[in-house]
Amino acid sequence: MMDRQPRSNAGMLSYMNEHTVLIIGESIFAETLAATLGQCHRVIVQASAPTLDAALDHLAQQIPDVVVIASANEVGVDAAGRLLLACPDLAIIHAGLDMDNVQVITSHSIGRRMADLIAAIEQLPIRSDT
Amino acid sequence: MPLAQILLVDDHELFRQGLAGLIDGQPDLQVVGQAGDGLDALAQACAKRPDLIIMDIKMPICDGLEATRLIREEWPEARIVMLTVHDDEEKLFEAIKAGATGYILKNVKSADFLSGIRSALAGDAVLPPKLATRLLAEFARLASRPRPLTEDEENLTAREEEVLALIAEGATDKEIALQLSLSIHTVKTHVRNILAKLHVASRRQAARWALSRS
Repeated sequence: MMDRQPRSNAGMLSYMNEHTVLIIGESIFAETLAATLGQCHRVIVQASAPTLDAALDHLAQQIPDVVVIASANEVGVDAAGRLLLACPDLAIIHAGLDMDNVQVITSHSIGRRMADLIAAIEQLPIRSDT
Repeated sequence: MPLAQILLVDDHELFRQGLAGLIDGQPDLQVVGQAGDGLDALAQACAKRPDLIIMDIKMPICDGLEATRLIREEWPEARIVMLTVHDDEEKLFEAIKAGATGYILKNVKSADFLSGIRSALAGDAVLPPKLATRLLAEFARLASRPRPLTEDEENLTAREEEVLALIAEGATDKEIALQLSLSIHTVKTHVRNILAKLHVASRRQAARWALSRS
């Protein structure tokens, strides 16, 4: 796994406006995506993890703003479940070479009261196709 | 030294953009065009004549296999390497039939990808080892299959078929003459005709041909 060095204090101001990203995948897709995002001023590629297990090891040490699963069939969307178990509020983006769209998976925790549950349900959009 | 010019064809823009960055970062390679479907690829290939076309298979409007066929029709010397997630031999065989000169899987690492396209630029065929094995197995299977009958072979007369069947059993001309109530001279004529129609040089080869057919 490749990790970036922590930022110096001088860069802290701009750091506040940048999203840290962990990329999961070991194909040329993940490699080139990391390189492309690394050139973007508003994104810091914190690390690239070739496998889900390597990503979970990384998350135990450092939690990024976003995890990007860049998959050429080696990591599936089912990885999201294990990632969310490790970090419940993690934002995950799943980009697969065999997918027509990129999927953004966000989650947040709520209290375990019935009122919290109902409020959470009510905040979610109502599907128009059901 | 001039940079090798590459046309990238893939409808997955995230992937294509990343590949373009990787290729353009190489001292000997340059992306001269990008296309998101087969028809755009055809137009750019004919206009730009790149040294190598890297082609996805699954694309909208016109897929990579069809685009490869169309490009090779217009420009038979085009070098096209398929870059795909498909590792099944059916797609590989279709790509080869369409005129692809190489096949790289998208789950490769960037070093292997770059090495593959440099090999393709050097004129080598590029294949993942697993698929190369399957391709050789298929070739062996086809080679061991009896070849289809030629028009002449199909034109063996009923009498010649009878003579050939006896040749396959190891019968001599005399034995064939006795069994079929023919003169030796007639049998020899039939044998000559059979050898000519089967394009073989001897009775033994004719016998082998008959056995392989059966």
